Parts: sequence; C-alpha cells; structure tokens
Amino acid sequence: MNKTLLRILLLSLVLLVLFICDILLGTVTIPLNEFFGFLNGASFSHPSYEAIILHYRLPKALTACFAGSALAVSGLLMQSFFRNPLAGPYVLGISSGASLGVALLLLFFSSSFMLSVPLAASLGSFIVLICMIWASKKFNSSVSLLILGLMISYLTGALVGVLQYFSSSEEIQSFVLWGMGSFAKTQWLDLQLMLPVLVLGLLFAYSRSKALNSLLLGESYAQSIGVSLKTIRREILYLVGILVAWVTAYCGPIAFVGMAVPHLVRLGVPESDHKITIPLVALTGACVALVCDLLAQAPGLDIVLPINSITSLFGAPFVIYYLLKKNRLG
Amino acid sequence: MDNKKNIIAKNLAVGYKGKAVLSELNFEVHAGELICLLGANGKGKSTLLKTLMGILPMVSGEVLLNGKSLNSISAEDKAKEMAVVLTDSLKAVNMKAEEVVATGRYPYLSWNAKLSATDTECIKSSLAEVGALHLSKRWMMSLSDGERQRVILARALAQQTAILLLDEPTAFLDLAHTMELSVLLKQLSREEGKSVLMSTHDWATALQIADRIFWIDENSCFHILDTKELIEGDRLHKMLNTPFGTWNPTLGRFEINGL
Repeated sequence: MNKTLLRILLLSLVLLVLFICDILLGTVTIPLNEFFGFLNGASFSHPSYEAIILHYRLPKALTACFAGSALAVSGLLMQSFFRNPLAGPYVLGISSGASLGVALLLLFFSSSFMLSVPLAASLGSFIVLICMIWASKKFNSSVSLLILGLMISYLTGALVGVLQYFSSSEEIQSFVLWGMGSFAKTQWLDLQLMLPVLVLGLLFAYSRSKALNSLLLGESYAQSIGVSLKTIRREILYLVGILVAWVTAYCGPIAFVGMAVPHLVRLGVPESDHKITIPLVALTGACVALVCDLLAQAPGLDIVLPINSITSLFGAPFVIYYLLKKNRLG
Repeated sequence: MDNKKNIIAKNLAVGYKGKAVLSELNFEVHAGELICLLGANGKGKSTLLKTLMGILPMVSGEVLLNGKSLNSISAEDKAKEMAVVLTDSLKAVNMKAEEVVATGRYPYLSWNAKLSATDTECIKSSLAEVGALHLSKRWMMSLSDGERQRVILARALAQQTAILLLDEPTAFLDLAHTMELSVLLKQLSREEGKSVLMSTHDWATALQIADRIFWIDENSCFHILDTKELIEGDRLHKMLNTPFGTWNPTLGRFEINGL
C-alpha cells in the first residue's frame, strides 16, 4: 500500500509541474516568477497575462486533465471488461459513435440547446457500445473485435461524409474543427457542466473496483463469487458511454489516449488490482493529455496543431508495436 | 457421511438456449460426499455443472442449494453456498497467487474489498491446506500447471462453502498431481463434510475416490451408480463397451486386451 501511495504522490507532482507548464507556455510565454508573484497577490507586468491565464489557459488545462483521466479510465474499464488489452474508446469505435451523434446534431439542427451536444454524443456512444458488448460474445480473438471497431469507425465516417455532402460549408467547417480535437474550446460555463459528470464517473468507477477485479478471472468465475453480470455489464455500459461521450462532446474525438495509458501504467506497475490501477491510470491519463496539449502548442512556432494529430502520432505506432510484440511472443 | 442434502435436483433439464441436452435428472448430493461425474465428451457434463453453478439458466425443473432454490437465490448468497473450479487455467491473469485466492473472500467483503485479519488468515490457511503457501507471492503466469491448479483450488476453499463444484480439475495434471489433488478432495469431503461434485474422464481415479458416480451414457441417459457395487459387479465391462479393454473385478482395474 505504501508503494502505491508513493506512486500516486510522485505522479501528482509530475501532474502539477505539467499543469503549470501548460498554463505558462504557448504562443505567449508567461514568466514563472511573475506567475508565482500572481499567486501571492501581485499583478502581472502585462495586464493581458491575467486574462490569458484565467479565461483561456486555466480552463484548457483543467479540461485536458479531466478529459485525459476520463478517457484513460474508460480504456482501463473496457480492457478489464472485454479481457482484451487492445480495447479502448477510440479503437473500438465508441468515439466514432459519439461523433456520429454530434454530426447528426450539428448538421441537421443548427440551433442547439445547452446540453444537446453531450446528449447526442452519449446516444451515439451507447449504440456502438451495445454493439460491441454483443459482438464480444461472438468473437474469441481480441484482434477481431479491433477490426470490427475500425469498421464501425469507417461506417460512421461514411455516414458523416454523406451528411456533409448535403450541408452548408459553415456547418461542415464547425464539424471538421470539432473533429480535430481540442481542449481549448471549453469556457468556465462548460466546465461547470463537464467536470461534475466526469468526477462522479471516475469515483463511481473506483467504487466498482471489487467487481472489476472479479472480472479479471473471467465472467464465469466472477459470477461464482457474487458478481451479477447483468448489473456490471449495464454499469460499465453507462459509465464508459457517458465518460467517453462527455469528453468527445466538449473536446472532439481524442484518439488512442484511452487504449494506450493503461499500458503505459502497466509498464511500471505490474498489479492489476483496480483500487491501485484506477487512480494511477487517471493521473497518468491527465499527464499524457497535458503533454499532448503542450506539444500541440508547437513550442517555438506560432501555430496550434490539432490534438488528435498529436495523440495519433504517438498512439498508432504504440498499437503497431504492441501487435508486433504480441506476435513474437506467439 | 451425514444426511444433510446440500444439492437436490428435481426433474432438472439442462441445455443451451432452451434445448435440453440432458433431462429428467433427479439426484441429491449429501454433505461429506464426493461424487464424480463421468461421460463422453459432448454429453453434457459441463452443461450440467454450469447449470448447477448458476452460470447457465436451467431449461426446466428445480435445483435446491442447502434448501434454497437456485433460481431465487442472489449471486452473493449463492457464492456463500458454493465455490467452483473451472477449466480456465487463469494462466493469463496478471495476479499473484494470494490475490487470486483473495477473490474467494469477495462474497464476504464490502465494496472496497478490504481484507480483515480473519480474511487474511483464511487466505493463508487455504493456501496451506493445498500445500501452496510458499507460492503466495508468485505471479500466476510463473507457476506450473500443477501449482496453478492448487492455487485455484485454494481460491475455492477460501470461499468457505459447503458445496464444491469442479469441472475436470485433473485435466491438465500429470499422474502425481492427479493423485495429490484426489487425496485433497477426498479429505475435504470426509473431514470437513463438504459436498464435492467433480467431472472427470479418469475412470481409474473416480473408482478409487468417489462415493457415488454420476454417469451419462451414449444415449444421454443419466445413471447414479454406487462405486462399491460397480467395482464388484460386471456392469463396468458393459459400460466400457470396447473390444480393447476388460474390467477385472478381482484386481479392481481396467486391463487392455491382447497385451
């Protein structure tokens, strides 16, 4: 237990450093000493710094942290539930389902009410998740499920393409921008809606540690030690569906974070007890999202790259590496 | 053997998707009794066990566990009545032996799976009982088949149930480990009064350890046989039904013809 606590503290420290970097670095670099001065009540040398931090960088960094945590924990839950190390919200098409929901909304109903985007995304992700849970019973191979996920992504992509053909250029532009992924589009008002849902979701995931651990032994053993499969299946469906949908609604589909982060944690922590792995995966997910956001600022350049390109640049080679390694092991 | 009936099956039919593989099963398993379930592949041994475990829904009929109907008992209460050993070797599970055994305590733990001193003691004694205490810190994937099977049995013992159901527990074991496991299961039934029901292909072992034998024949008929009568009579010869072997009642063993 002490070792776990130490790891959590260490990761929290890394997270804090990354968080401060994310707030200070960007097209305008804010000096560190001025930032600490500001925390102590002094004012910045440049009045726009305060506005940049409070209205732009702080919400962005918070969004990155919680989105990263939520996606990473969703990935962990899916890997435990499907007993498939390659499972994740993006590779299994859950994010695509959410995208389709959002596309239908943005391209058909130009005037949307406050929660319409997350709700449309949730509906889309639920539908794909239900398909996946059904399909996972039919397939024995983890790679088959992965291929099905890719096919669902193509299918939703094609549907979105058809929708776009009949849409105006402004509607297309807003959807394409959303699809590139960004942590920077959330305002404080959005955070007020997004953070409580994600925090509750993460806490709920932690509270199901015992059932999740049971599932590691397989569904039959889990049942034999008192887990109701119907209940846990439904809980994971709602939990993953909502976490992924809310992140996707506010940040766009973020590729590979959900699948890769649990593996990143496994590299250093061999345990599979969810009471240990859920907090570690959540913290690592937040760190990874912040690193991706920092890289997306393209340090030294005056441009901002789409988050999705960054996560894919790292995520896709990781999946390839994993498949190669698995093949070698037979 | 006392007269307490831990499992009672009445007019039970088992199968998949409402189609019965075996039907009209009527049997009882007493406390302190070890029963072996035999029959050719595909005749429904696993189906019957999975139904008794509550993993498969029964097609029709009724099963009582310690007087409580299997269909109405909650998953958690069932876990306190009955522990199982499945064919899954748990080789790929990324856990230490003691963690696997700890899952046997889950029916008694609250949401955060915190182990009390009693639970830790129970995990230790279960591991000790199967002679695997020294393996407790080892990872499952690093164990041999025999060691892993002992850990899996310890997991079921940690559940502290009156009923133990095992699906081909000796399938991957060599002769020495098969004998070791047989002794252990016999002790569990005789000394601790557990009801042990295990499926196996191994007639030789079954005839030595079982109090009674449940046999599913080629026509999917279910027979309840007394081991002692079986050994002394000539029925085994007909059951065996092969030109390559004969049952020798005086020696109490199968002999291969023409050697």
